[in-house]
Amino acid sequence: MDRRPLDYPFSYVRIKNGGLALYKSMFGSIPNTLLTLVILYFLFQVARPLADWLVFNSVVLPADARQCLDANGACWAFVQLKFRTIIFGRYPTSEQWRPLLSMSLLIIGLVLTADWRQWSKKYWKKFMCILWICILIADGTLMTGGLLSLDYISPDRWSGLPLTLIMAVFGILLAFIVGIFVALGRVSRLPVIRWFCLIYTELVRGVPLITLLFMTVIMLPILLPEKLEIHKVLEAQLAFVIFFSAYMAEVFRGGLQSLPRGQFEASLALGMGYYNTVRKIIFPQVFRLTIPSTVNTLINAFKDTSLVVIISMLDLLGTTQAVIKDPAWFGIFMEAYIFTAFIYFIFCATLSWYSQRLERHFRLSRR
Amino acid sequence: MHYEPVISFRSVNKYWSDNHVLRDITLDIRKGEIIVIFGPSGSGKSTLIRCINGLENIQEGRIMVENIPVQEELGTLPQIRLRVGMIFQHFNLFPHLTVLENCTVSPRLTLRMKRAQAEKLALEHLSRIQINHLAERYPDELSGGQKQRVAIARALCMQPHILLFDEPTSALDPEMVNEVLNVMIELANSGMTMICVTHEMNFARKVAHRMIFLDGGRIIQDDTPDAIFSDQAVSQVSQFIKSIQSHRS
Repeated sequence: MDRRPLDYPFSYVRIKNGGLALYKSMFGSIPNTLLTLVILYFLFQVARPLADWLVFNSVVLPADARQCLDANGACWAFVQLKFRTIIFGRYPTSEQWRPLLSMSLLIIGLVLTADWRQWSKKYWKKFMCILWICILIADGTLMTGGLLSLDYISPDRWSGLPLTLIMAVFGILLAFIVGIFVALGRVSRLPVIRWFCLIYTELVRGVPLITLLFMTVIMLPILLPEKLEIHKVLEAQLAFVIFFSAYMAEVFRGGLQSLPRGQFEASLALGMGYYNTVRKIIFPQVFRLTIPSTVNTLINAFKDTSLVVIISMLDLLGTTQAVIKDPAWFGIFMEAYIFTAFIYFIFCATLSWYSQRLERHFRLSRR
Repeated sequence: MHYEPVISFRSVNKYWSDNHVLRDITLDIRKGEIIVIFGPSGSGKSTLIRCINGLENIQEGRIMVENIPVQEELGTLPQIRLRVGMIFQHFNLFPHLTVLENCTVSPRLTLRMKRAQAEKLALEHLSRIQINHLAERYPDELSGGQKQRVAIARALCMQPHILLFDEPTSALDPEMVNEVLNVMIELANSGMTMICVTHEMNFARKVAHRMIFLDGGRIIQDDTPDAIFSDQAVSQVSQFIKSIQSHRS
């Protein structure tokens, strides 16, 4: 029999004869067989009604609310009718190609950025800076309109998935960059900078995100000159960047501290100054070390964009909550939530899958 | 041999809070000299050489390297570090860069060398110590001896005038010590100014011009190897040598 050590190290190493090993672990001995049968029985007990509800008894179009309420299953007809509203919210129907295009640009940008095979190419960083500035301008123009013969759409009507994605992606990008500087400030030798960054992170982390959102929405117009009317999305964005940069800073600081001091010393002894040392030696390693906790924070940030409901903006969750208030379909809401949860899940799962691939890439090729 | 000192310590004192680490160190090192610093652990050997390139600062006295004062406030450290290379006990290679990149990163960034030129120089140094075939590997794939040789090549790529060795062989398995020492001997014969903190007494006897015994942050004896290994040695020094040699055998 093939006995592997208990601490068989890497899950990405495929075990040979996987099917046989699985069979042995399930039915290898009498207790194992009994246990397997008991577990399978309970799984079946749960799975059958679930499948009935989700698939076999579900109601799809054409159908009305009456049929849905009478049926013993999920009312997918409701989602089919409302999915456009859930995704685009209050954005005018005839113009919904604009947020769709904006989202596509964001996703293309993310995919291009994520491709690690390009990272060592010569002009990658410059290309990325230009690309993201272009996406920012393009998305802003597309969504707002008012020029290039596009109708003006008030920021109040931005909603649904496009709003969630725009806030999450740009918020996370900026928080990431600000976080690097705050983390460096926390380990700076200049006491003023160190104390400033310490107070910043502690203050921000000590306050709920909702409070910060309220504060930017209420305080910013007071602080800024009266004529300057600031875009509401930008206000929310500012709150996100402030909030998550503090968390990112702590993640990066953890990485900085786990790096041996010798790395810093060796780099300085080679004549590299502080800037080059941080840029070429310290942070590339910090990013690698902190992938799991960075992704953790990013997923949190993505999901926490739903808190903008509090300042009366309708993100993906907000549009879902608006949709289920339709009196014609009173009493049907679970299906809409499942649909929305599924969208959130796809984004978060992709992020987490990518981070695992990235970790494996670094483990196999770099270290 | 030039008589103008390239490194000079004048009444240097260093404290770590109330711990007096270096006591009144006065020392001249001339160009091309090979100095071995030894002494019991905690005697301030590493601190002493780390002061030369400003990794540690001093509270009193003055250190000059090629007539430039080593003092952070004067902003001279970058110039000093271009002239002084350092090899560490734990190698401190950059694990996210290949051997070749380890050797070229600083020449390209601080000496503004072109990539091709920096790589050519790096390969020259790597082949001089017979590890050019490892250029594309990552540090984790190397043995300890290979790592330390890469660290030496990396320091050489900056074309320093002076090399500092901070216990270069103490983290190595015994069978790898010699491959590193041989590189150091070759460097010594090429006329490089070297200051080595090491307990390799055979190496010291073979190549050192002077040996400095440090204890409690004070220079106890500063003399030629011949004197140190003869009955001219201070009793404390000969006892120490006896103790490390009996331990070795």
